[in-house]
Amino acid sequence: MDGRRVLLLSVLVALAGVGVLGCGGQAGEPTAPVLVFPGAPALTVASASGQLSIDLWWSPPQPTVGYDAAQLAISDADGAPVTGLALTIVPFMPAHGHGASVDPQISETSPGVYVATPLDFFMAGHWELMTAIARAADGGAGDAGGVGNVGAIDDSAEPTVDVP
Amino acid sequence: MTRQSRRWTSLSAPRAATLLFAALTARATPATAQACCAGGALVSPVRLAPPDDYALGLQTRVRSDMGSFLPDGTYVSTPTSSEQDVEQDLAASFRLARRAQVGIVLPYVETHRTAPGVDEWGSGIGDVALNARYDFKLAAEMTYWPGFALLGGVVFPTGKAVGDGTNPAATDATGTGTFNASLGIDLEKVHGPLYGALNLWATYSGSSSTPGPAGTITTSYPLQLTALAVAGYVFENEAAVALYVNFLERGDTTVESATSNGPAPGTDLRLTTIGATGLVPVAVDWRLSVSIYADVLASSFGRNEQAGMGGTVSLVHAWR
Repeated sequence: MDGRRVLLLSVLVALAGVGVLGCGGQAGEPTAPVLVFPGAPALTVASASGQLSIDLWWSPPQPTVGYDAAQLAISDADGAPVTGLALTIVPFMPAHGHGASVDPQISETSPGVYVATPLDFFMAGHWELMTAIARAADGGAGDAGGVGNVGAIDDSAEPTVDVP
Repeated sequence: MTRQSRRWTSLSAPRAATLLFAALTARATPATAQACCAGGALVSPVRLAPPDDYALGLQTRVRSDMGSFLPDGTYVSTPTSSEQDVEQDLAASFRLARRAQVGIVLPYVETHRTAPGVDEWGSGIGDVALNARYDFKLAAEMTYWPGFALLGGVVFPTGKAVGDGTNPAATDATGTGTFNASLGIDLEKVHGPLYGALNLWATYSGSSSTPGPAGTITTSYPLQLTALAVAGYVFENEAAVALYVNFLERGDTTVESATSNGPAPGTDLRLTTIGATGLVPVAVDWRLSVSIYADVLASSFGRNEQAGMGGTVSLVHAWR
């Protein structure tokens, strides 16, 4: 094989990959999830301290790759909703040791009910929502003085989901 | 040749793939293939054969994921999204002594992901790998016993890790974000036109860190074990073909953060890959190799890994 044919082969090897890139694609934000959480909760977990119970719904009900959302209804040992909490949620893949590129925003949509969106499940697999739960003894900034709103809270929870 | 699921994916997967390629590139391929040595070329684009002093190669990989393995080993297909990984590796090997050689792999990584509302490419420099090989005995050096080589490799976190300013689909994540080091052995034997090899690797990965809900999340990884078995046939015209199976396994990670401390059950990794590869000498100093592979898409053959299929094309030039 002469030099020109070898050079041509080299170019073809390189273009074998670059050619695929040429198929194109576009940057963009994943479609925002619909914030509707019907039916029974997908799971119920206890906080690390055991003092709080968290009912959790996903949107869509079976999360898929892309942007998803979660609704957390947090209640105390008496079943009363706990309001005014400051939640910080980080989607995390413990098997792979990484999080996501986008931090979710959390808002309290009704007493003791918190919605986190978007949850950036950018790849399939087993994800955890590493959740820090805090409230100062005086009720905290988001305190609406609602039911179950007594004392300081420094707690956490780690609900999980398998994203196909 | 083989390619486990990728980078971030499992942060260990890209690592494993790079290491495996690094291992393979440390194997010799004769410019003019001989039955005694061409077997190594079946699985390694840029390994130096005994008469070679150095070699330079370009390899392109393409991979498409079709599903993933859940923590319990159940395989599920991906219904609404897809991922394609493309990579160009520039690899070089240098002989340090009669039985010792070192190599380097410089990867350029491209990732394409689709999901509802997203059709995105990202790319960048991946994790650079250095590797070394010392042949105590060559494959055809002893009548009955196999050749034996000690393998070593280090991967540097030169790529961008997930969350390090990556886009929402993390397609511009090109690295693992941590160092890792591997030590392995290579047993290989030739018998007439037949070639067989068994590689065993243990890989130590440094811990990785990512922002958590209350401080930093630090993930530590146990040793990852990788085994590669190859069976090949070398033709008189110096072309060669082979089948191979690759298996990797790693135990549960340990996660430390303000909200979690200790082993994380159900975070072990497993992936089983089978493939076929072929080699054609295209000139005195050139060789072209092609391989195709697929992860075994059956439950229990994987855990916590993306699963798919792909192929590689390599062109290598060696100097004596």
